[in-house]
Amino acid sequence: MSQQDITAQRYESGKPKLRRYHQARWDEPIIFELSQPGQRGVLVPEVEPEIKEQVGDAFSALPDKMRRKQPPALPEVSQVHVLRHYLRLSQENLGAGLVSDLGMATSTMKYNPPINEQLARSPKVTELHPLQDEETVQGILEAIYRFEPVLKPSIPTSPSSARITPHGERQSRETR
Amino acid sequence: MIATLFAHPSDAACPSTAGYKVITLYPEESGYPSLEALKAAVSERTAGLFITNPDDTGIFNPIIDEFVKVVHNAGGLCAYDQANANGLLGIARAAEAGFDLCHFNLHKTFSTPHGSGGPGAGASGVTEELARFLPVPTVEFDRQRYYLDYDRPDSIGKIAPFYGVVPNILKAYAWVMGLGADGLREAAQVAVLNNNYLLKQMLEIPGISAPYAEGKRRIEQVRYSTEQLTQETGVSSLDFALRAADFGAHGFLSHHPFVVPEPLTLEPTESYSQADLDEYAAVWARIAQEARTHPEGVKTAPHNAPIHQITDHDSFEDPACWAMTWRAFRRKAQDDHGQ
Repeated sequence: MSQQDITAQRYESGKPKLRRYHQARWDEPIIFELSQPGQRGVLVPEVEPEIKEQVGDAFSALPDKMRRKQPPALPEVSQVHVLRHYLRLSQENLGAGLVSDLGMATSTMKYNPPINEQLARSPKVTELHPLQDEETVQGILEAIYRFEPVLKPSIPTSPSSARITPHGERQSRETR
Repeated sequence: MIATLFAHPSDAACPSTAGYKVITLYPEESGYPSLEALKAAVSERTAGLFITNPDDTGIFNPIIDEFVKVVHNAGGLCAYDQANANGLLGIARAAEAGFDLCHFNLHKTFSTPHGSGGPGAGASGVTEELARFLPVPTVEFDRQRYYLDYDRPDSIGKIAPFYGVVPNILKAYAWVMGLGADGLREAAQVAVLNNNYLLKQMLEIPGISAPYAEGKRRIEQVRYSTEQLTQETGVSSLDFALRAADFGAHGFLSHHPFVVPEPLTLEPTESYSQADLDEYAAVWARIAQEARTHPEGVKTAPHNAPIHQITDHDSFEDPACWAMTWRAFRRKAQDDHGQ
């Protein structure tokens, strides 16, 4: 079999052929409009009579005037419909990882390795709460503490101090 | 406070919000302000200098250390916004230029995702003299346990809820440790190489230019101009950016302050291959050609997006058109129907 350059068909007289791209278009309602009374993502089992008897009415301590008259107006949607809904919305998006975003100017839109996402989405991280006692969040404090000297060589004159500080960046349409 | 025109807009906006008067220095043809302009701006009233370098043109101010000296001599402090540090990792530091403080955007340079107002995380660096002013809490270690130190009497206090965006800090830490010092330098070198490779290709497209510092190399990004092409065809750089969506390329629509006419800013970073860059440049060459042959087709783009052009920009600015909750949406929809 002769050696064939399988990438050749992507070029035309040495120039890359342009990719045809067409975004999906779904006539997708907002999720509240998808709501069907009685649909559920999870069916919570009925409490067994023995438990009910032991616990009694847990809400009896709440005065009537403090109780909601109506349940919150959450959309009633099954799991698969939630999944479909957001997948469809994502298909209508020019998202990172899908399209070329080097034209996003000074925003430094570089590749975000999913393996790092996996790390940050571990329950060991996501189940922490910022109000926990610091004795119980030693691991995350250690990570922050150890990251600081790594950054330090890039930062001003020696002796110096590098700190990761609470920093919220709000991006608007005007500045990035 | 003194800022430069092409620094990140927040470098002028933050001091202004804090009540400082901001003097903005305009660039010379070199792409950065003259030392004389800086000297004319400083006085005994100067609190400091707050800039990016390179600015958003991708041009590095090579006399940055002299800028810092002039401001120091006037009694001011110098802050380096490292938003554009992606071409400088392991190559140049705020330290050598004599800055007093700097900050990195972990969500840009250190590879954590951002967008749509998404989560940012910052790392601040200061000289030892300024360390006592850093925000609380800091994370400390007493050789047995880690703890949060709020007992810092000179601190400027707490500046954000809780401890910042902790997942981003973890992701950035993992990214830095994964690359190591050599890897970071290589990332910066590839980012600069990619940018200059793309610059050469972009300048081969008739009607596209890169204002300032003509013929010189840039660091990690370039603010291009389609001014000549726009004059010849009536197709604006905004039309260009919208048409790019039809080829799977995301264009940036904001270039505050709008000083470069018909701006297009591209920053390829280290994440793109040579083939990616060739394809990207071919997209712009194609749109430039379309501007000459089918200008209406470009001006009405994007054609392959679920929503074409949004012409009703007023709705974005009118709170009466917003609905942040389903309840608000229903209330406003009812009002619209006169009920």
